[in-house]
Amino acid sequence: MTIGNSSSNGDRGLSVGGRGCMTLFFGVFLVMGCIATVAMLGEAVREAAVWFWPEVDCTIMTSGVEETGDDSEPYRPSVRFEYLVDGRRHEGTGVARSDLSSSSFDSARRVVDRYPAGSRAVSRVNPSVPEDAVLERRFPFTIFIAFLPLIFVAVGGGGLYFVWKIVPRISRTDRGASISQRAGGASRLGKKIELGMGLLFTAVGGGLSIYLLVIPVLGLAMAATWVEVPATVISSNVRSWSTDDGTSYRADVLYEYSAGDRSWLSNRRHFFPVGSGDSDDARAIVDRYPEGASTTCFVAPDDPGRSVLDRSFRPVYLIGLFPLIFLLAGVGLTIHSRRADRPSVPEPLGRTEEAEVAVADRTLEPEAGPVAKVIGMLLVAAFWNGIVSVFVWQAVKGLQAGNPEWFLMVFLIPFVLVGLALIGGVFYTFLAAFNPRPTITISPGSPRLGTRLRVEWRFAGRAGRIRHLEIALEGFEKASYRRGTDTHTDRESFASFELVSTSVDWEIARGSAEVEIPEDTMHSFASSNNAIVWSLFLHGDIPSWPDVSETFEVEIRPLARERLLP
Amino acid sequence: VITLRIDLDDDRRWYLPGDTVSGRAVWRLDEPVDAVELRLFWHTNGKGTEDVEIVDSLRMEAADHTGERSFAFRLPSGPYSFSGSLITLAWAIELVVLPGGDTERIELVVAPTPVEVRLAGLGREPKGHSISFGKRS
Repeated sequence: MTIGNSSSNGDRGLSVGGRGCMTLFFGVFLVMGCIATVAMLGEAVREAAVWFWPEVDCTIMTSGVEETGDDSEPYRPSVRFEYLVDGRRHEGTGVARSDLSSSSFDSARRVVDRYPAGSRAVSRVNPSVPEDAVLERRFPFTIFIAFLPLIFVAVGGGGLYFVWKIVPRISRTDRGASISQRAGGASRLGKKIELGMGLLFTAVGGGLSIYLLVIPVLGLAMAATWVEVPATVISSNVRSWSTDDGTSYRADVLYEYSAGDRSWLSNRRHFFPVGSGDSDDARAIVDRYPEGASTTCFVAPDDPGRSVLDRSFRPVYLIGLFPLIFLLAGVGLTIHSRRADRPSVPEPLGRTEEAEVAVADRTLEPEAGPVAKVIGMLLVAAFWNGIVSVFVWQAVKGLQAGNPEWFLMVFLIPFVLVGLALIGGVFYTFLAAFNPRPTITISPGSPRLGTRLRVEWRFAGRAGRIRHLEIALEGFEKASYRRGTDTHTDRESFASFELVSTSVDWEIARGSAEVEIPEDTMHSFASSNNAIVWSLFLHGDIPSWPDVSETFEVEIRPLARERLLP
Repeated sequence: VITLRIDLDDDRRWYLPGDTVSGRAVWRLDEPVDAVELRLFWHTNGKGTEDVEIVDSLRMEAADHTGERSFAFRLPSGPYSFSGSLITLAWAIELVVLPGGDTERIELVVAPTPVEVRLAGLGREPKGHSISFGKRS
């Protein structure tokens, strides 16, 4: 043929307006990401410069922990020192180039402890500006944070590449008629996206799990052997600061205790690193530890500077389990993305009758067992209601405070109803778990088109509770497609053969039926987005109780080669 | 103007699963290309996202402006060519110029009968249907 053709599956290109909007959208991401990246890299370079500054001996004049005036990070180490450059005396106040403000009094105090007043130390002096000196050179951790805005750069840059390179290519490919060029393309891209999401979830979930679960639990475990000593509350107040989500609150209880040969100050109340964010909770803690009150704390015998007010396990530690969901999802996505995504067609030609004897009978497993159904429904209900309950709690608190949030309450109604339905679903699947359990055996075990299929059923448990039983073999098409960001799956039945429909007790308990699978239909088949599925549907009606409802997939192979030949 | 042609032996378009598809690929190009590739594949159409699977291929590297090559591909046992309410699956052979992507394609029917398997209208009773209850004899 002469090229210049051809067939088209439709133009998948973008309109001019669409391309302009997407360019603007992704362009903003790219520009903002670049600006943030450059700013953070600049800060990292500024911190790293100290490593190249010359060392100069200095004398510590004063050292202590000072208040910053910022409630989110109220403590900062303050060290004043003097040093000589070219015979001229200078005075420095910087411990490091990065900001060392912290919500933890202990971390500020640990820095200060390294520089007692009157001691000698080594400072690093800016060779260009001798007045600029610090005591410590630290690894420029900002460089790690600088990678965060790179996500915006990647989204923006990737989006622009997609709009200007991929979309025209897809559009060209459609017009250029080659269908085979598209083989695996979308699948490979999908796998890459899946792998990227998996690694991102794993990293975020893993990092948060270490921060919110591993470190606090290790702290609890170690504190079990710490020594209880008397302590006095020096100050106790509620800290508050503005965040993107409103105002956050934290109870800050500074206490003093004696251990070893000196007294110590600390504000570590427990090992969980995140406060409740609730003003009432913070107020309750401050009331529990009023200023001047005598209490006890727990001190590490080998490191008396380490202490904690409360070493008991509290429900707040359970929050540390939530990142595990992200971690598991990330690991699952990563593993799934590495699996080959090959279409499946049941075993091919040339199987002899002798070979088929080996799989004469096969007992089928239901697609989901009763325990799996209960656990699955329980997880879905817990996840949904766990999220919704946060907002419901806000609404309840508003009501209790005499300041009801009507919009929030009305908005929550459908979500609460869905949550109640899911709880109902948990009870339903739980009750269904006590139903009689069906077992289905087919013969031959690997049926082909054109063969006679024998289906045997029997029930374990009280089959007499079932009033009516129906079993049908059904073939259906299954097609998955994307609409927006969601993936939908449609099913369409193309063959349905009733095997049994009976209300007779002894027929329900156990029996068998046969059906001839037509030759001129389609065998089982599965690819990434499309499938032909054959299943046995079993439905047992139990009055005033969840019904028995199970699906058993049957793999039906193509015709035997000898049946194909004339 | 370039010419691409696929000549199937006996001008067949219908093949049984397991058959061998044989013929000759012919190309006349304006300029040298990286390669010319012959691909046996199936693809889906319909409501679901398209799936394309290359089952076998024959790559002719650094092809001259003109050339021809005989080929023989063994078909697998499935999937059959079929059409349903949601999905249509078709087999084809393409002769593709690389990297340009100019293509010649021939559609095939791979099924037990000369027409694709039609799924619509198969909702019928089985040819034989018997039920027995109680203990298996």
